[in-house]
Amino acid sequence: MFRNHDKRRARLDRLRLEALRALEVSEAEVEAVASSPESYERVQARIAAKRRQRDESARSGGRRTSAWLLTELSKRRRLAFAAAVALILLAATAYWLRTAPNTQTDAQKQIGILPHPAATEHPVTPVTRDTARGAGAELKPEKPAALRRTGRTARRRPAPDQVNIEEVATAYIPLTYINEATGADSGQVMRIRVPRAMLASMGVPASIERTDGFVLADVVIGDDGLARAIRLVN
Amino acid sequence: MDHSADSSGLIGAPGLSPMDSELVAAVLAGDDRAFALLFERYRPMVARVACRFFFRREEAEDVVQESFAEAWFALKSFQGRHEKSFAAWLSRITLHTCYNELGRRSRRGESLMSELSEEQVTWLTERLRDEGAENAVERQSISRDLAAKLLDRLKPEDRLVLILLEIEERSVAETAGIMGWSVSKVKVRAHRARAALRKALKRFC
Repeated sequence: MFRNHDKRRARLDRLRLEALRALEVSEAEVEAVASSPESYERVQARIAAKRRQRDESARSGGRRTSAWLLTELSKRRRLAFAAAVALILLAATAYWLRTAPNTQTDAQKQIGILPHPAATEHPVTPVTRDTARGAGAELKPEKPAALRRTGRTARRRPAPDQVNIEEVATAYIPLTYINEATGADSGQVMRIRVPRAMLASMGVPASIERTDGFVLADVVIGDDGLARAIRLVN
Repeated sequence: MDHSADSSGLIGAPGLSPMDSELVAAVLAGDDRAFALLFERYRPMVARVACRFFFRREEAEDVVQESFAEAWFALKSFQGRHEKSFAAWLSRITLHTCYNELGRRSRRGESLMSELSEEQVTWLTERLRDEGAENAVERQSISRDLAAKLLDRLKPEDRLVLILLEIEERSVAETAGIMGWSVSKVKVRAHRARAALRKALKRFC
């Protein structure tokens, strides 16, 4: 098999060389081309044409360069302008994001939790009998000791009279039994919309005549996730 | 043309032609007659090179004229001091002109000569199959037209390399100098060119 392949390759190479040698020209053919009449005049005509072409391209090359330069400059100006606009927009967006009010997350919206304007800024005001009395709560339960602690790092809520002037809130009503073991040093206040019908089940005295609709409430959630107290907000 | 009797007043010893370098210097000084002398002196050499690549007379003449025109513009780059160097320089310009023209034709998609006639196909097929013809006395040599059509199938650089190496029998180093390639590139190109031509011929096996 290899011998046949070699033979075939040798034949191809021989034919290849023959093809190349067939290209050799005879002296007569060379002479016919070389002694072509007016050949030198044609060469001079070509030289003149090339010289004109080169002069023309040198001139138009200058013009092309200027046009190219102008195009490049205008392109650069446009790019610079676009970059400036982008920077301004970026700065404006950053400024707006910094100054815009906090928005509610989707999770919060789903469970009816409303953003409280002072939820993370103001500490939780411990619920005391005095605050409950001052707010005119429907019920003034005993204030568990843990919630009367002061001087802790608990978040303090503003007193009822210190809340937004547009809001009126009751005092905090304890929701769970709190003792020294279960007392919370810190927590969060979350504003929620509570169905009126649920108020009774939460231990909040509510009118039995009005069970429809929702009420706004601030709920104190301890670090352990247990709701500690609630107050109603109007 | 008897250059020694030329009345151009060019420098040269009595009975001897002016040297190429002197003629070049005269051309650069603005003497058109010196260029005419160079043209007459080297026209056959340029024609011989052109005829290897272009088999139509008008195409070969075109290449000859183009080569001299290019040489005129490139004279400033000529730095030869010996008689032979101008010939080599001009030969290089001619080969480049041929190469450019072949490239232009391939880009234009010209295949005027590439289609083999039925007769040529038959001839090739018989030739490739006939093992007994290796020692035959009466062997019909491949026709030039057929050879040209076979070579038209090659890329311009492959054709040029094969012609320089196998027809003009130049060395690899000379070919590299003419083409402006490295020696290794010439070898690789030659190998590929031979394989390409072999492949073109294999179709008729």
